[in-house]
Amino acid sequence: MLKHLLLTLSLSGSAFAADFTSTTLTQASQVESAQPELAEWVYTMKPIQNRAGHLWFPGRKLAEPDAQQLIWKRLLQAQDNDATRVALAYALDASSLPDWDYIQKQDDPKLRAALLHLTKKSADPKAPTLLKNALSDSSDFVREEAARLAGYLPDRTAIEQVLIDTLIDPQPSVRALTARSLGWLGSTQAFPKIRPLLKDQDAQVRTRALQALISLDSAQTKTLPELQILQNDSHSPLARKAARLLE
Amino acid sequence: MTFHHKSLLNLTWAIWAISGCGKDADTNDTAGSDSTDTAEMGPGDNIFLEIDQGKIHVDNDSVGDFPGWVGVPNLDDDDNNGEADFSQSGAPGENDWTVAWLDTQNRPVQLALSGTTSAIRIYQDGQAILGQGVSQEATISGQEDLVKLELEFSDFLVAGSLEITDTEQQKSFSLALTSAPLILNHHLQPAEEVMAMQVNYQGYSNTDMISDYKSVLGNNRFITINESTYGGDVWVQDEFEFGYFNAPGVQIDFIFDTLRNGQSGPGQGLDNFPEDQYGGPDWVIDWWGKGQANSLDYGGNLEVSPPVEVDGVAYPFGRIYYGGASSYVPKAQTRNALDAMQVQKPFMADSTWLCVGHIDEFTTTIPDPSAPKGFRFVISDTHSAWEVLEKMSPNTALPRWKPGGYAGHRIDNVGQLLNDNALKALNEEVQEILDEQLALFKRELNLTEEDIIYMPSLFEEPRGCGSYVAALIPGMANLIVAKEKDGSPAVFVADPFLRSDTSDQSQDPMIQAVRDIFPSSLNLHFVDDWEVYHMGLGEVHCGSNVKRESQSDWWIDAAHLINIEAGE
Repeated sequence: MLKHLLLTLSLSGSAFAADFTSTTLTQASQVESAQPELAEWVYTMKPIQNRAGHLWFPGRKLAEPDAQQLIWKRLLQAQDNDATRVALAYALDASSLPDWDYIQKQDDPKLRAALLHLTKKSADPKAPTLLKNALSDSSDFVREEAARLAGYLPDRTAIEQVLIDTLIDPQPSVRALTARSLGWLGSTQAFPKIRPLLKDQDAQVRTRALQALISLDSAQTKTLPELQILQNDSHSPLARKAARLLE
Repeated sequence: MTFHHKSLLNLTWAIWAISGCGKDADTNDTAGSDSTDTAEMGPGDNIFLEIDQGKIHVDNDSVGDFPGWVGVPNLDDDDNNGEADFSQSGAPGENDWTVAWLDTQNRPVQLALSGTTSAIRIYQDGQAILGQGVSQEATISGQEDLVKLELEFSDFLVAGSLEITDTEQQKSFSLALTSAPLILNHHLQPAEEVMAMQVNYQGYSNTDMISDYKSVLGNNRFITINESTYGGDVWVQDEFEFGYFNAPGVQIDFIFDTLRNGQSGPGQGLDNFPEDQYGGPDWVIDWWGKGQANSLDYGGNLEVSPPVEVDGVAYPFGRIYYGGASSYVPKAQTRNALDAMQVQKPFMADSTWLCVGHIDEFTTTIPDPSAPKGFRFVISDTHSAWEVLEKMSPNTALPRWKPGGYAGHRIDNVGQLLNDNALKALNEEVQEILDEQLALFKRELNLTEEDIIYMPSLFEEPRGCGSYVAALIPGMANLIVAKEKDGSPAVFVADPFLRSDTSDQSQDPMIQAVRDIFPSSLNLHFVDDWEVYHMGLGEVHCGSNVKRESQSDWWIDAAHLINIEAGE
């Protein structure tokens, strides 16, 4: 089984860091030997749908470290269809982060995004690096997820400037969530860069931008002349919010 | 079980008929109920038609005003032949016609039907004499005994008119004919049955929750849905909704079998459960529209408030509400059909900020006899959750929350929640949405602060949902209202597990907080829905369904809400 896996990885031309891969595979092999029944179960289990219709692998047993190693191995093996691999990625518990080289080689943007989810609230120094790279991904969806997840980082230092640069991303959802993350991270230097988004063509961008500005500097936001226009915005929740600020 | 219910109704009617209407018409004392005679002028020697509301005759024809003689759309299949009974014009075993008694005073009587006649049929002694497939006029010869007339319709809220003429005395009176609307159930109707699926494999188990259901409700009022038969599809609330339509002496139970059509596709999951469990005479299992459903078309996104009065208009059967926003809404066919029933005037709130997108994720209603309206409206509230958490020791370990992956939230203790700035920021944004939605509910249900219970809640952006949220603290607003073995009201709520000792609920400040704000008349049961439901983005309500007692006199209580015009 292990030989087959290594061959598969080799043939796929993966260039991701050998230490992560080899460590993961070694640990998985040890689990296989010690707990063949668990390995058999993890390698053959099928996902079910959660209430949102997404595939998932439920059960507390899968959160145990041994099972996590086996899930990683099954994911690295790449024998499942895309949807199942996404569910496998979401079943991981973020105890170890893969390298960007591995993530970017995954053809399915949903899988790349699912792997990025491991950075959520992670203090691992790898996390901001992964997100910075992901903010340049070719997929709108991956960039959107990276922009969103950046807001959960415990420290803004390593990501702040990249996020500010991302405020001009062509995809509205990326601009919106980048603004949100900068607000959450308390990036006061982003205030003047977010402010132009109050005139963005996309309502979600305007809404997120206003929220971010409020969280960064509520007093200054209340003085912005843009609020006069926003209180008549076609997006009614935004208009109401602007009007409340002007009261 | 519905047979039993219906049999009782029909038995009551039969006893009434034997004791009151079997007499000779000459006695002038032919009615089962004299209520109208005491208040209104008696029929004397006039011909009359007696319906549930009283006797209609030339000197008392207002009894026949809208809705008049009411009946039900005869859409069930009493003879199990695969056809709706209306299409058969008298199916074997038919029991859904409403009865009226005609006193001819031994003189010939002419009947003339108008309105949407293709959707109405009237029978004399079991033979169709008027309406669809028959004639628009009929003459009944004079008889000493009362003549039994029966009425059926082919659809909801059909309107017609019946003119009755004493041909010898050249006197006429008219009455309205109206078919019932569909009424969906609300939480103040007593629960008859609760159902949920039991699953248990590889650490994926709801055994404790099912055990709690059984012990509190009793085995005869809890239905365990078989996991293997229905493909492990645990989302029972989403598959179907219970309702009914009725008329005096007649009731047909209804299941809105949503376009969800089972998890993973038609024929799979729970798709066939409604038919398997309830299909048969006196049930109609139906839906509106076709095509691929989105999550907003599921049963969890369709709720009914208890009775309310809004802007001076009474809604005795509550108001329907569902989630959606702008272009992301339940299917138009469903919305239009619900609108067309009129008596539960639907409205829409925004649920599209949620990953699943269902209205039951953040709102519900519970009975409370001490409340001004007899119920309380429950809405998720983040402020009250933070208040509870801030009073707890940050060192309080949260073993149930600790695992990662799909087993927990990777949160070790209360302090980790309190120090999570992103979580706070997210929930501030969620609270703004909740505030907007509460304002809408206040308007649409005429709620005051006194009517509202703020359920402690926190939300997160779960994996795979992008910036859409779901409950982080197990969603306690997503509860069910049922009835215990002894008849006392019970509420089943997700156990929040905000405690160190997962087996000791008395240690849990969140549970205590909920007990403090809920009516003491309700027995609260905090059940373990963590692995199967909470981590699967649903909670107790999502995984259960409740069949409720359903009797109403809509023709008396809700006629003011119905505005229909007869066609043809």
